[in-house]
Amino acid sequence: MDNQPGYPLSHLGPDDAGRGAAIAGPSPFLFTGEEVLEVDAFNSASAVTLTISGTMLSPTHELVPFSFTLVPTTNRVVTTTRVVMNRGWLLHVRVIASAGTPLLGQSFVQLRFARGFTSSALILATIASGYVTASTDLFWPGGVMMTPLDGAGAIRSITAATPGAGVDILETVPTSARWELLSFWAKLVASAGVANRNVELTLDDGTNEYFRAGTTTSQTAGQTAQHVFTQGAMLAGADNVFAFPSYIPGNIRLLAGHRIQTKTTNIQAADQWTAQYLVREWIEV
Amino acid sequence: MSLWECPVCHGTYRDPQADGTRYFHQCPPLSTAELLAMPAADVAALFPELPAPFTADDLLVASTARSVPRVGARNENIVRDAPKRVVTEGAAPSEDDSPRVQDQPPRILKGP
Repeated sequence: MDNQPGYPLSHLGPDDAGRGAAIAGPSPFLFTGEEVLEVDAFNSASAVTLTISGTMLSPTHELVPFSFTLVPTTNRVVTTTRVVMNRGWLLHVRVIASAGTPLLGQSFVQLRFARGFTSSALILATIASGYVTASTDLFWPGGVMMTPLDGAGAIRSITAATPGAGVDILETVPTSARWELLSFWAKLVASAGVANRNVELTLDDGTNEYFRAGTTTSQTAGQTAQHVFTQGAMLAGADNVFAFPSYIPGNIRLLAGHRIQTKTTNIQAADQWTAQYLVREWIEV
Repeated sequence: MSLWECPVCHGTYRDPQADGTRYFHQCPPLSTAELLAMPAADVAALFPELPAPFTADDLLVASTARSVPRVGARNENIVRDAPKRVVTEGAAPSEDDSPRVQDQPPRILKGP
């Protein structure tokens, strides 16, 4: 306790114990050498480097700037760093993506005030949390605390895996992501095998199906057709020769592990699917 | 933006995607075309509810109601409850350390 920066003390008046009262310093976050600034980052964008910078007020009333970096993974797994700060009060802190171009919704950062440096560090407070980009920073004081599911989410256009011939498409929401499915465009090149292919799009939770919708027109041998599922679409009475429209529920949210699949009745061994789809993504932790 | 092939289902995919994000492949279930190409005994083992003998229409109905994962299906998605990994400031953590759902054969690089 001897080396701690002193709090100004004042006696509020006589009382039976003659105790003084402590008046807080310029910030609620006082680093005494036993506390760390912990940075937790959840990221899905490539080549991102986060720069954390700010200013401390030392016990001798000097302003001490600091800056360090954190390179998060790109698979939404938490990347953590704990930094022993200069002794003193944290006056302000800022986080920004100094490398890479993450969209809003791809890099989520939490700044924590913790005691201890090891895996047993005790988190005492969250200083700030929110998404960052190369232009949008996370800052304290004055910033708004956000959860990962806040905000507009990042729009992503994803190329589905091209399955083997005669196999339907399967796409899975990745770990620590939450999706809103906006549209699903899938092209089926039907082989010469004679059969009426009927296409449906299904959504399930990894085990149990909870949505299924199909296009209204069968696809015949040798035909190449696009099956397009979008929010708010209505089934057309007469499908265009090349595009078979159908719908997906509005504002549908898919959790990690949920699956999007095509189900093709009478799919033939040489039929070939490709697909491209649009989602709005948030990090979910 | 490498093109990879899954050694199990032979699907091909880009990882990373064109926008730089990672792609985590999961093998699709067996399709009706694949089931019809399998020996009848193997299909009957997968769908015990099928009559003996079963027709293609019987299999179509059964496979529509319930999908069957392929043997050794690959799933590249991350195990969520992994312990927090702490890295030193400025260091780039290795993503190969990320835990996977299961040990599985390596994917095949097809091209850039």
